[in-house]
Amino acid sequence: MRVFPLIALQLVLSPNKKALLWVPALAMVADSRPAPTDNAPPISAVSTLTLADLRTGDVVRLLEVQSLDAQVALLQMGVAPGATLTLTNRAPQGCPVAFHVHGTKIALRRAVAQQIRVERLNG
Amino acid sequence: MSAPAPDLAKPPAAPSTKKADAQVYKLALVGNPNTGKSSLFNLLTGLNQKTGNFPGITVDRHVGSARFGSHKVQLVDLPGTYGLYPKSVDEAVTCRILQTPSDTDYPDGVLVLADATNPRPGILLATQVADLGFASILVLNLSDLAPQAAAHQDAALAKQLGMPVVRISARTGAGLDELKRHLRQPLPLPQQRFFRVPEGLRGTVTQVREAFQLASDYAAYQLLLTPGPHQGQVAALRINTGITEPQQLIANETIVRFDRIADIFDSLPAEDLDRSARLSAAVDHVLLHPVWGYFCLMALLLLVFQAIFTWAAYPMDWIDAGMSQLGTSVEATLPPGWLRDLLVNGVIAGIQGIIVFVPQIALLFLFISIGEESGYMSRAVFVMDRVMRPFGLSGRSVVPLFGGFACAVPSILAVRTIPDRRERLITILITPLMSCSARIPVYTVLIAIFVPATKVLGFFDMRALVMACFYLLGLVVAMGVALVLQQFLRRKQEPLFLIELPNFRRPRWGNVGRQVYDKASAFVWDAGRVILPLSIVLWFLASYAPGDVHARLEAKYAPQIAQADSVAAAQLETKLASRKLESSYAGQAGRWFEPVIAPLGYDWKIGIALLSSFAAREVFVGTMNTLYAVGAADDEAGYATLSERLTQETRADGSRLYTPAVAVSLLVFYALALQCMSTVAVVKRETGGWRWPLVQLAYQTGLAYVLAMVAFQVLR
Repeated sequence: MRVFPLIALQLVLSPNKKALLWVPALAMVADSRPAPTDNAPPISAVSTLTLADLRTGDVVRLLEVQSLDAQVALLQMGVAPGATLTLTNRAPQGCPVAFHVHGTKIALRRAVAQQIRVERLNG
Repeated sequence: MSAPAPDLAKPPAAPSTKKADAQVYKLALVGNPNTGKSSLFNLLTGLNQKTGNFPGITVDRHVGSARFGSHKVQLVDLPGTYGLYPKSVDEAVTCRILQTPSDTDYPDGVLVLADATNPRPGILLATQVADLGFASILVLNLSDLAPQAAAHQDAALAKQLGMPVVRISARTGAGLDELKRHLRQPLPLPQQRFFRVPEGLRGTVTQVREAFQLASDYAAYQLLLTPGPHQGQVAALRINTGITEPQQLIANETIVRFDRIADIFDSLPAEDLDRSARLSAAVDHVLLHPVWGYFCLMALLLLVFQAIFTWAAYPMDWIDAGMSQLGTSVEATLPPGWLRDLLVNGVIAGIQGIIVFVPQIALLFLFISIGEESGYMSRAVFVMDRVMRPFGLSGRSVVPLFGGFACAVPSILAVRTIPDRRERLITILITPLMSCSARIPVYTVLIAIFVPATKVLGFFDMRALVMACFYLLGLVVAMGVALVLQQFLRRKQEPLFLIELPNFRRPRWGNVGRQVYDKASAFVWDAGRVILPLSIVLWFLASYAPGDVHARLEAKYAPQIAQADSVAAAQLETKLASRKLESSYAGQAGRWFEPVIAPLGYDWKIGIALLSSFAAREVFVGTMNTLYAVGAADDEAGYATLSERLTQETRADGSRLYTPAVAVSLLVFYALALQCMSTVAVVKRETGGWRWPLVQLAYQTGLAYVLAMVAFQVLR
């Protein structure tokens, strides 16, 4: 998303209707680039579905939070293993992601989402 | 074990001070963020409240008093927190106060506020408060939005928690009377304990408890795991006890709490999405969209800009007109002399320079505060996180950076909500590069010199567009600096980025109003304290000269003026005034400074303005006003707008002084330089020393000087 300042510049320098079309166009170009972290090998051979692998609308049960900091933060927000999460929003390249849980919505980055093991509830 | 025994010599402070104001019951308001804590505080205290800071730290401290029946209560609003193990500076204040019996804000009772639509974090917090031994009550807010069925669980909840539970709605006022009935007497002591300190740590915990004179074992346990300011004293104990991973112990403790109240959590009604949650989900579909999310954010920022330019202009015109009127009438009433000069050119001009900012600051904080209240701000954090990450920042920096467009001082205070130290530091160091509202008058005056006020495409003001370019300059330089700083500041580990996106809510206008008022008045009194004395000093420096220089000048010109006709006399008087200014203290300082700034295209008058703006950049316009008002003896010219006067200004050889090159060079300088004493003071306070404010002052001044020189040399 280093193109962002350019978009702003474009808007300021040529404030005509074409510039407004540029914004979504550039954002989509940025969006279509592959995520750099996607090539990382899987951590273990055990089938591990993580929060980072989900699409919006997926409903899952929280199994384990492998990052200690995230575990404490989520526990203090009332989210413990067994909770039902619904993935609601993904920013470009899946970072950050937002999910609905217990009547609130929480967002975190891909690096943390990859450490949160879940299992599918909606087939 | 050779345990350090800090503070043992200190007499037990708590009981004696408690006795002194025994009739006032101290009640602390504790709760998760976004639960409506400020609203409840306002409802309970009404107008009997005051805002200040917690001692030694610039976290807002709201204290109010109220009377429930015959029970006098002093209510303190503690910063919102998710648990009593702090992750940010704000949260640390709450934790420290609840741990420390000698603290002036240490409460007799605690009101724990939870969100009825998502009560889990609040209930967990309540168990922690109970384990600290506080008399307490759990208040579930937003009852109007929670499922009706939930209310039937309250009696069971109260029994399980061992404390009263009240269900209220700060919005509709439901349940408030019942809450007030509970507050008519001291709150009951907690009937339940939820967590026992692990067997192996009991001895150490007792030591900590005795050494710091804490009220409970649990407070000592908290201090052992997150020592805060006592890091040095507790470190040895931690090593001896073998605590290497406090986070693991905190996680274990929280799981124990979950188990103890599992019945309660299981009995909570399933989160049937209420209307506001469903609406939020639909709105988020657009606002967090990978494409339209950016689009909406940009559109909103542009709207805010346009509003600040057009709406704020009216009250600013009224203030200008009113103060000019005041100046004229003072001039008409008082006899000529130094007192009249001081009042008109020093005091009134100085006050005008301060309050003229109020409309813009108020408008910007109106937008920021509506953003926070409605829940949009955390969406902006979500959307911008990916954009900020390459610069070593996160979406959390967006709020302070955007706030920097209004004023760096409150924005740097807002930085403390960022948990990661490096991110905090980078944000602090680049926030003053955002064009704050104090730069707007400087930009306005200078841009008007060389840009005509034409419309582009029938909508955009040409001058506004040029101004937007300088906003962009600040932004681009800030991001560049962030990239460089990222290389210098190493970090131990990737910080945790985890934010709550609360459901969208109608802003509570009382809270919005309070924040706008707080920020505007903080600006008037804090900035005013610097600006007003400076403009009086400047008036003196520009009006007086060493020895009898001015007397001799007057003696020289007086006979000529007396002989000349009216037109020639006016010209002579202008010349006299300008000669007097040149020979004044200010003129001499400016001329001494001239060689340094000559490569930037500036003359000595600009030099005076630059020197004076090192304390506060908005002084520039005031100084120019004073300088040229002093220089122009004629009343009408004295009140002509500054820009017009500047275009008439010439160099010694008769060529125009304020060419576009000089104006752009000045604009670049003012866009980048750190000319604000208040910012330096706040950065020193927030970073805990002079190192970072000095680094910041040096790099920003250097950058401003070099780039302004480049601009002038290229454009001339």
